Amino acid sequence: ITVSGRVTSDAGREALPGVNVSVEGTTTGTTTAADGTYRISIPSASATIVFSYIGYITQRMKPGGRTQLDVTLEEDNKSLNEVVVVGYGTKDRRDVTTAISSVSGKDIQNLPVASPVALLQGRTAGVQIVNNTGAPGASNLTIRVRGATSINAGNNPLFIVDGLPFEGGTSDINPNDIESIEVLKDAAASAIYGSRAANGVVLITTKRGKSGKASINFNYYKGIQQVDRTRLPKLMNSTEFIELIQEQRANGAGVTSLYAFVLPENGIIGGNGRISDTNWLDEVIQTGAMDNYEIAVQGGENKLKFYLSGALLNQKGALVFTDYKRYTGKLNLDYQASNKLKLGTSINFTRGLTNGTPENEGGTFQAALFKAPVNPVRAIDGTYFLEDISGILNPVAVPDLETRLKTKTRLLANAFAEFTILPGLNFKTSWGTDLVYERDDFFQPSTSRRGTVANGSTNTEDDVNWIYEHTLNYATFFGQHRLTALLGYSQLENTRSSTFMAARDYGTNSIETLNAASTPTAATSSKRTNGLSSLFGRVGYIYANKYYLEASLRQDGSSKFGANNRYALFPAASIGWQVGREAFFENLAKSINDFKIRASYGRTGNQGGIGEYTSQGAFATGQGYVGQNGVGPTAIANPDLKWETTDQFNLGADISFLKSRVSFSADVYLKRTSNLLLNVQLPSTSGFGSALQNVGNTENRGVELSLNTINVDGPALRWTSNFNISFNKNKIIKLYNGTDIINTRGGTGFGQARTFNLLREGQAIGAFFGWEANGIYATSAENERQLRADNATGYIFRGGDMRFVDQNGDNIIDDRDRVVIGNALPRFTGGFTNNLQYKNFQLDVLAQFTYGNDVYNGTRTVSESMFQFANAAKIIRNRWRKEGDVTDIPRADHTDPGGNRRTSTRWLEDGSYLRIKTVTLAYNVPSALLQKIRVSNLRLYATAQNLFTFTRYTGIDPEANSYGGSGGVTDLGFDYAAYPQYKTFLFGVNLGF
Amino acid sequence: CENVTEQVNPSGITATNFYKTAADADVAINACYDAFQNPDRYVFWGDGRTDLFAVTDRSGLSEQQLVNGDLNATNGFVSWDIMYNAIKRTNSVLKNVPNIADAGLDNRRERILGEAYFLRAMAYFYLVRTFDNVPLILEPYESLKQDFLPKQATPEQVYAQVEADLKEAEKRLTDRPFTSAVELKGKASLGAVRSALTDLYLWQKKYQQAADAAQQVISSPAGYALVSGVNFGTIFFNKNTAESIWEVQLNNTYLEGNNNFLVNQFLPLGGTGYAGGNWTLKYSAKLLNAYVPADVRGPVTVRNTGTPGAPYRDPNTEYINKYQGTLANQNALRFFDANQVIYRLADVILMRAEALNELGKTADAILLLNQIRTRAGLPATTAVSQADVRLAIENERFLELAFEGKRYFDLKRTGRYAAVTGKTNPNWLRWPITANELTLNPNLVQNPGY
Repeated sequence: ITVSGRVTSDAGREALPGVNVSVEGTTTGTTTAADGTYRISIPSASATIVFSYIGYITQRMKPGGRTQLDVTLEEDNKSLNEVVVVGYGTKDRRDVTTAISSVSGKDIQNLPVASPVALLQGRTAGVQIVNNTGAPGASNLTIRVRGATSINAGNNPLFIVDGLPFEGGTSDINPNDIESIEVLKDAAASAIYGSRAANGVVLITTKRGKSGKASINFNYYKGIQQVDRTRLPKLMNSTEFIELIQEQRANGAGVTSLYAFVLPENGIIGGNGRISDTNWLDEVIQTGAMDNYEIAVQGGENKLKFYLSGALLNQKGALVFTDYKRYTGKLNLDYQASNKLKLGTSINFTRGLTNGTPENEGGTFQAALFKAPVNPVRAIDGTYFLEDISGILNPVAVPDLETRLKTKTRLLANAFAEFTILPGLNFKTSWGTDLVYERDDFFQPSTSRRGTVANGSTNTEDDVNWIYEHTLNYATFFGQHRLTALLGYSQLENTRSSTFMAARDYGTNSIETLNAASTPTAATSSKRTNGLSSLFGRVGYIYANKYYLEASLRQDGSSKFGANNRYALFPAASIGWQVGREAFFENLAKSINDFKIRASYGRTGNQGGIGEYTSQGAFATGQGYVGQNGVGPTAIANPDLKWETTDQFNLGADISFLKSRVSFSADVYLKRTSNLLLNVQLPSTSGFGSALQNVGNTENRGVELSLNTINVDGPALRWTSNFNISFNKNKIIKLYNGTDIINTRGGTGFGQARTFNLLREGQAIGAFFGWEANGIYATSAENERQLRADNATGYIFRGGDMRFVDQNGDNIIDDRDRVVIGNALPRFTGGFTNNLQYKNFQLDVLAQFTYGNDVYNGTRTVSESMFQFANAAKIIRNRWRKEGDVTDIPRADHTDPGGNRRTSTRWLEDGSYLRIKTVTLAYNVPSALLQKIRVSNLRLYATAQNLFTFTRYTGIDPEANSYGGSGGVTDLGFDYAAYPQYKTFLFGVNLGF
Repeated sequence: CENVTEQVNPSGITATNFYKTAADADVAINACYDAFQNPDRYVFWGDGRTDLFAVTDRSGLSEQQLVNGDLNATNGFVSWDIMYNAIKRTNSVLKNVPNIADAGLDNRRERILGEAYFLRAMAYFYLVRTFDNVPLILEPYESLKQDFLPKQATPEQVYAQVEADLKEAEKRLTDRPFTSAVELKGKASLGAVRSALTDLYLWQKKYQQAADAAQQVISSPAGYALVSGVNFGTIFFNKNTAESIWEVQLNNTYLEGNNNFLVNQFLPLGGTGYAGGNWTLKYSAKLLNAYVPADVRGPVTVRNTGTPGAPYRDPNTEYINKYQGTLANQNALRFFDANQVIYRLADVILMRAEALNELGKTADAILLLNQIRTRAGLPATTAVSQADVRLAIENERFLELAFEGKRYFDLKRTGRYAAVTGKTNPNWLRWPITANELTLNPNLVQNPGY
């Protein structure tokens, strides 16, 4: 008997091609054609026909004499049908053959962080996010997709917001406007973005209007932010401080007077007749606050759909006199002009205002750590006390009296038209612009620091970016074959104009603008432009919904590349195999709902490190002599300069079982980067500091695992979890001439030692370089080999000094004894999310962790170095004082002849941590109640952020990264008194009509 | 559409569009002078590790080493980058300015080249006297394919190049090439070239040539003249006096961002409403005691804040007074913009005295020596014999030229470094090559003892 029929899906009654049709208990089987039809022979009318298809519930039918049998398959799990945004298009999750992580906008809503990308932390495998600072409004994040490939060219991924390339921090996007964030991790996914994609691509898609009744949503939250005081260093009081300074000066310079550094003006500071005992940390830390107001309206009539929102975020920082205010507005429109033509726009407006304070080294928080407690905050006449002769600023006066206002205004807009030429063939043209206007106003009155005159400056940056893209999309199918093709052309240009003006000698402290100053000290402006012209294409082929093949190619021409290397090609290919749809898998298919294997290779580039005109060389102005202009060579031309090249291989598998209650993804990858854009240091005999050249290789290899489970799925209680973990191993393969690159950080001023970061072949990026310390000499006699500092006639280490390891055995502790003492890169990172829903209550908990990285505790170097006139932590009371003392803190010596405070393992700590990042408890008011007051939903919620951190790190925050945001690509893991992160507790309400 | 992949820098100059006009040559030579505007480095080379300095409460490790002489290769004062930066710019001028087609340059092309030769000679003269063994680079780096890892030349080769360059400069420069005082003193003149030649000939013990070159400076139509004794301080506190021959110019009004950090290193901390320096070095007791009360140079060179310390902050603070910079804004702000005198007439007179004395013309030498002593308010020298006059000149230079970057070179030249300073380590007669440079260029050899 032959039975035939058609298989459709329950959603939309669409034909389902490639469905397995088999006769139970036999080997007979077939699959449905592209139009969903099938034909199968059965041995008897009582035989059972099985229809199985990945993502759908398997159906068993007995034809019972019928020869025509149409079947509708019910979707098993909506998540497999979820649409994923990819480069220049979208895809069903089931058809994805590359490595892409997605986060839904719902998961990151109403969290007290200005920057949406910060919210990816712990939620996506293979994406490491470091919140470098707790400063309000900071978009200063370190984002690494599958490790760091580059030394100089930048390691942050390319951001695309609604199709527009987007630079400069995602805090300009209101997280609540986001529909989804996709991270394209492997090269096959990202290579369509060519020379900018080597560090992965983050696609942010904002919400658009949906057909149907308009809805209005109000959202409000308010919270407080507190620095975890238990983690702050305990500092000495005045008595302990004076005793310490006397001891370290007596030991060092041999002087016992406190001199004027500590006790100016006859021992009386501020003229109030006594020595103060100020706890400077208490003076600079405040309880911060955050509130957010928001309204969003969306809806759609027949042809027009819209999404409109406006929001105000207000944040008061954890350090005094810091705050952030952000206004955002959003309008997305879609208009179906005819059945062939669709028009739309995406418009995003932001205005952000940040009142900042000097951060990290030389910043106010650092000053609070080492400023002598004998100084009062204010003198007896009520003005700020500035006469601290040791030169340390007053960390309250500076942020209070000085102005550091950053204003950023941004309009991100594009318009597009989509035209259907033939069924399956679409042309889309999109025109966008990103206009950024930034202004930094600075004013320092004559009253905020000792011995200065009032001065001010204004810096403005005006960025004009434009882009247009034309794409042609084609999709068709015949028989078991599905074919897609994309062809595109794009051009973009970015122009940045900056103006800087400064002046001093203000006639008054009450006017901050430059018109009140009498002496201009700087007036400069500059302009730079880069352009990218690209041609790209992609073809996809799917056979029987089982075998996938995709290939893409992009050609980028960049104005940044040298004249000899203007154009670059970036190919990629991927294959996929839906093992679960094979006939041999059929029996297993009962329990396993989906099983896909993916493999990909692609090549991407990184042109981030190339300045606009670097390849052309430079003669710079500004080398004048007594009022006459001077111009001299400052950079050597390099016409061969080109992009960094990253080749990436990826192998992945997705599997889900137990009716899709458990789904698991695994990826392994190998990224090889060559032609590194290395700022090769030139010997100074050349007169040039360095030259950007394409030399060197790096490698990243890693594994990413992600597990989603529905643990309980009852009518009252639903509990879901996500666990992800990523391992990445980074290695520098080759450097210029094999020469180590040693980066130094920090000065030699108060309490700080210079720190070293090493780039060496065979090591990972982020290696700390320094001396190995092995305790303290209890007695001078313990230095049996009479080790000396610096050279053969140098200081002989004595009792109380650090016992540095003489690595080369020459009895001298010098630069040659430095070794790699740690690394800032973690061995693995990950996150664990749990969502519990019980009746109308909802509890979401996100834990996030990092393991195996070291942090250089620069905060401790500030408070434990016993150098000059810095205040110290109370722990310094345990210092070595006399021969025979056994302790782990060296002796106090003002001159530090043995360099006890040098970069050593003494300051390096395990930076692993597990953090309860976010806990949200929400209550949805039952709709039965709400209908009476014509409210569609009402949600009350409370959120805690950074609730607990489990770590052995003794600093304030193991995540602190003082140089992470400043382009110091390789300077990871330095905690130099970074703006402290805080705990946030907030309460919010969400009301919809 | 425009071609977005071809961009021309609207705010910068590239090799392809520079060295086209006469004005390009003018700005290129100015940049060479700009490279000399960090005089603290080469003053420390010329005065450090001698008997001039003492440490203060605020001296760091670098200053301590500068005082006690035991310098190591990582000391910040050791770095030679500023001189090679000057060499880079002069090499660029010397190669490219001859090829500028602009006829407008013809009236000054040779002068500009002469200035470049002079400045390159000065850079190498400082380098070779300080380090002995330095690479000799005479071509500009214009492509990354050039050799960036030069070996060191012998001191003889470098001295020969200094002499050759100075002679090229001598041919091209005149006594009065410029019209303003700032340019006359601040830029290379024939007087400056011959002062440097005098200095070089003394090194080479070509005493007759040294004496002759010095005489050409002394009798130059440029009219160099010693300022009067009461005005001795004006040489340093004012700018560009009649005595000055070549003086590196620094002036805050031009916003050029260059500083004479000697002001900061030497002056004591400021007091209320009075800006000072950072006081990281002071004078030695030996120098203080060497000034007799009548010597007008004493109070100009060495000072004590006294009691109370006003206008400085602290009482009884000993400090070096030669470089004061400009006080501005009701004295609340001090610019580190003191000019740096490289050659002045008194120096040249003493160099001629030294040359004549070595030639056996001790009586003539005494006359010149007494010229300087008289101006300082001192009686004529009591030295008579050649050997005594030699010491008297040495001592006069100690008093006259303290903190002008001469002492270390003087003692090294005469072979009396160890005897005078008591610093007997023979390796201290040349400075270490900075450690970082050795890492970057494996072809360099560290000087012995470091």
